[in-house]
Amino acid sequence: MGCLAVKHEEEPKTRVNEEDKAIAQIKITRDQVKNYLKKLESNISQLKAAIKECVKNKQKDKALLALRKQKFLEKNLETGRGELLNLEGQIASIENAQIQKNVYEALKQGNEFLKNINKQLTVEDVNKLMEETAEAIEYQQEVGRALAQQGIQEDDTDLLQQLDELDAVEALEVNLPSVPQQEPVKKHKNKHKAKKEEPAEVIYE
Amino acid sequence: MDVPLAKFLVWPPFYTLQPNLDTQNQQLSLWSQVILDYAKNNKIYVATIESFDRVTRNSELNRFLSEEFKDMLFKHMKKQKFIIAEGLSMLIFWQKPETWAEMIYRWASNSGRIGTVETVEGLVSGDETTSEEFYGMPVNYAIEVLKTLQKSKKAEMFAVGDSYAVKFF
Repeated sequence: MGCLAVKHEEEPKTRVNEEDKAIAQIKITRDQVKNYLKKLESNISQLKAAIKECVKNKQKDKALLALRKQKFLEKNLETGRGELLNLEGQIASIENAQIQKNVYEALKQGNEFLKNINKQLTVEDVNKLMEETAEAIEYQQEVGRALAQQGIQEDDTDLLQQLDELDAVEALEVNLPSVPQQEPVKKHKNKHKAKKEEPAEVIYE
Repeated sequence: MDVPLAKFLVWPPFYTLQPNLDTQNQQLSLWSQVILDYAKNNKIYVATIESFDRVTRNSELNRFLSEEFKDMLFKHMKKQKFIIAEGLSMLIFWQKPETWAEMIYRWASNSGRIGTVETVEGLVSGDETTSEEFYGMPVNYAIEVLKTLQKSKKAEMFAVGDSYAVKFF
């Protein structure tokens, strides 16, 4: 077929998978059963009309034969309807299972994603971070303490000297007369007995 | 074109193929409309030329389209994509395939069928579509409609044995 120069069109990527084909097959069978049932129903109604005619024309044998046929077809119809129900039930189950599978896949994917994120953030990392933070805070506090201590770190001897000086001042103050413990005594002069009593000079020390 | 078609149908010259090209074209357009309206009203999806004899013949006027005229008419309609020939019969698209396609896709979307598979027969004669406008459409007609949906990547048809199924996206 010398078609060396023919450019083959790339096969478009199909979005139909084996699962789809299987489902399609079941649905096609369902269609076939439906058509079969339709045909049966049509045959049965034809027979019914024919039987009526036979009865009208008093053709008993023919009528009986037709009735037997009708009964047979009606039995097939019943069986067929059962089969159709089975098929439709299976189709529903398959579609349900598909949804469940999709849910599972979605959950699984979500789980993988979560695991990945967790991998990037370990408990060790967090602990290390907290430790380092605590260390930093402690260091800060130490620096603070150091800064606060600066002015008070003087020699004890200086302090002792200051204390001595204070003691000295205290000693001077001791030579002063002490505070009287009794009521002051009223000084009465003999010469002036008759005079009005002058208020005594109260000498308060 | 505002004159209702009925008026033309009772006008004898309408049944004679006009020599003047411009007039002829207009005439063909009008007759196309007549055929399409008839098909729409009687839900004729698949037909032969003879199916339209009722319309192309007017016994009262004793006028009818000649074979030549009919030939031209249906050729014209094929060119305008109102008709797709299939073997000895024609698929009549009084509604464009794209319009039908949109309708089917909308049904699929509303009934949660995007991503699922359905047989073409199930689409046009199944229990779930009895109230849809496209219910009763012949399978070969539906396949032409679905082809446009396939082109716009909203569906993909595939064969399983002798039957066709379609997956919506």
